[in-house]
Amino acid sequence: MQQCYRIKITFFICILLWFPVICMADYSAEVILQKTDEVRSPQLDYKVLVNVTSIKPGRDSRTAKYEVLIKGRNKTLIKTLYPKVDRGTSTLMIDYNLWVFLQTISKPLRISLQQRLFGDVSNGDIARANFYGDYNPKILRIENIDEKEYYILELLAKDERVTYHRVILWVQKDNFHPFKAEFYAVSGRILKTCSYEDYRLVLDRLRPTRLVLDDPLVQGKKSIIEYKNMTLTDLPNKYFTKSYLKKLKY
Amino acid sequence: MLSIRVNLVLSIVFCILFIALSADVYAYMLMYNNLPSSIHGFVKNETACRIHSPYEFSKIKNILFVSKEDELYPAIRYKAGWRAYKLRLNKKKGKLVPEIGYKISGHAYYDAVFDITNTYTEKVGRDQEDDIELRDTYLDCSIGNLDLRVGKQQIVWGEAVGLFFADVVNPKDLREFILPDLDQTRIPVWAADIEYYIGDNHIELVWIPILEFNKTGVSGSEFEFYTPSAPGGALIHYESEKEPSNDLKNSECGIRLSRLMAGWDLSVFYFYGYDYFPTPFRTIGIDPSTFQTTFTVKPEYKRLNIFALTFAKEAGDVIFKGEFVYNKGKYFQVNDLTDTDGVIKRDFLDYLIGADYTFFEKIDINVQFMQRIIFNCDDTMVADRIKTSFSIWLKTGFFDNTLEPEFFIVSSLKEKDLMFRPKISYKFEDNWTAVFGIDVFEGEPDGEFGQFDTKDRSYIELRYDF
Repeated sequence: MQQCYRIKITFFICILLWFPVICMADYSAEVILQKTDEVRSPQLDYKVLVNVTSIKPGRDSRTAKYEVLIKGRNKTLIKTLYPKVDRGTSTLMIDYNLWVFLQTISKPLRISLQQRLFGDVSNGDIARANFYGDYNPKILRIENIDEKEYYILELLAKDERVTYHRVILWVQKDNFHPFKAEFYAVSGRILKTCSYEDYRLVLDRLRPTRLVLDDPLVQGKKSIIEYKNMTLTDLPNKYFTKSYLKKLKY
Repeated sequence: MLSIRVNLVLSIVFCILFIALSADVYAYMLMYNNLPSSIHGFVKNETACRIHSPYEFSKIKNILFVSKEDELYPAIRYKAGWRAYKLRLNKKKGKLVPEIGYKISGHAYYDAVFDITNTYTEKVGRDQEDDIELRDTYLDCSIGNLDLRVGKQQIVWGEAVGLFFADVVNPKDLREFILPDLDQTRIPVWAADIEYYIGDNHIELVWIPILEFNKTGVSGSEFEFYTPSAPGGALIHYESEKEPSNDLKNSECGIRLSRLMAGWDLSVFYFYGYDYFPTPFRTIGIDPSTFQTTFTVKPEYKRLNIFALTFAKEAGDVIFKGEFVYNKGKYFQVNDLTDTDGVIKRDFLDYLIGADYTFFEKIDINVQFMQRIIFNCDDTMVADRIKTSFSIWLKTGFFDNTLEPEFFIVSSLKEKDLMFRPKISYKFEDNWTAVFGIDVFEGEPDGEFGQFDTKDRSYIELRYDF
């Protein structure tokens, strides 16, 4: 009887010890990607100031500043604050539909995702903070880098209008922090790499506040996206309409 | 004349109101130790030189544009204290909190070409040499999904690139044809604009109680519109334009419904307005003593009913755009000397279909096909029954889009009548933009663009944004 009781206790303790491992093993690629998105940005309405610095070898760096308002997974509003010559330009993205409002014509124009916003940072880089809605993920393998384990996810675009056809994403296994990513075109050519840096406590979570986008083909050519003043706020639906673009205050 | 007086009075009232509000806001900002939101604008020089004989400067214009916009309530006044707490509480409870904002803007310009050269007459100088003008200046009030904008404003409808098709609400300043930026070409009107948002639907009601009409170059100006000469050595006498009074019954109004549906940007609108070009009613008189024939033209602004449908849709990497504008009851000129007033009332349809595409993620291109069809057109009418034209716009960027060559051509398909506008702009030091460009017109003297065939020009612009 005593023997039986010991076996049961040992079995129970084993289960308890293995429980987190079993749970981890159960994480599907989708769940990992969702949790990674939660690290990158709050899954609520929020606004954030974004600084983009474009660096090219042998040339002065250029800086652009934006106020970005995000509602849910699919609505983004980008207000250009700097440089002064572009101040007042607003970009609205709903799903894969994009509009731009230019002060010189005073009306919203429908544009495509291919049109470039600033230097080597595409509209999608700033407007999209969620991979989950845009890509189908698959776990390729688990890698050890500097004694830390990382999920290596392969993300394939759900829609051809997504900025990058394929993404390879490194996600830290214990906390789902994105570490780095590689972005590929349909042809298989690598377009850029991204490292997620400067993790800080933002809205009660450690989040990357600096993204460094490197051009693998040109040494030293990079864009740095920095996030500041991320704040949760109620953003009415009407802000995310083409008609409201003219009403945005700068 | 009444219109000018009413405009002046309203401008002064708005100026006083906004200066007072600004001072009030500034005081509150100081109280809460916030930095004042800055005033923005630009200083710009536009210099143009005719590249067709006689080679002369046609413009040395210096412009100061100033703009200030902000939120008045609740953002600034109640950032702290009991009222701020109450506002947050009301918001939490789902109560609608009104929001009020404003914008005030204006420009002043001086064109030195009228003092430096003797190209233009004094009359042209008086019309175009200098001006101080209130531009978009309004109050924005919002409660929930209902927005109201009252004041001097641009109300812009349509999807077309570089041209005015469904953009019918604001009259245009055409003293420099359609060459300036579109927002500078539109004349802001005193209006009330009510908008309501329901999901992906949008309803807009517009009321314009104070009438404004297109401004065109006076006789002898660089971009004076072509006026046909009287046949057979007859004299022609133009009377002053007859504007409708600013009575309530003469005001303009419109309604627009828009919807985003499965990626389709759809809008329909109706605008009960005016033809912003005067209708040239004509009478013929013969002096019994000299047998001299005189044509007397009495320009008058007439009502126009405008119905339109516009759309934009992405298909693959291409953005398709379209505008169909049906104008009911426009007066067209006739050649028939036996006609009592020289004009005939007809309906016409303006439509445009365009596509945007970006080649190699580098070159943006827009192509537009346009047609005007006049219904029940007869042989006596000066205008053709169908007029077909197209436009092509190309733009690319180098060095992080700081250097942007651009090219725009619009041309008639049937006859030689075109406008060709290559330009290159360079942005530097974050505040400066330099532009060099050429405007070329080709065609017959009575053509839409050909009338300016001898006005081809090259120009440089230097702009500092602050």
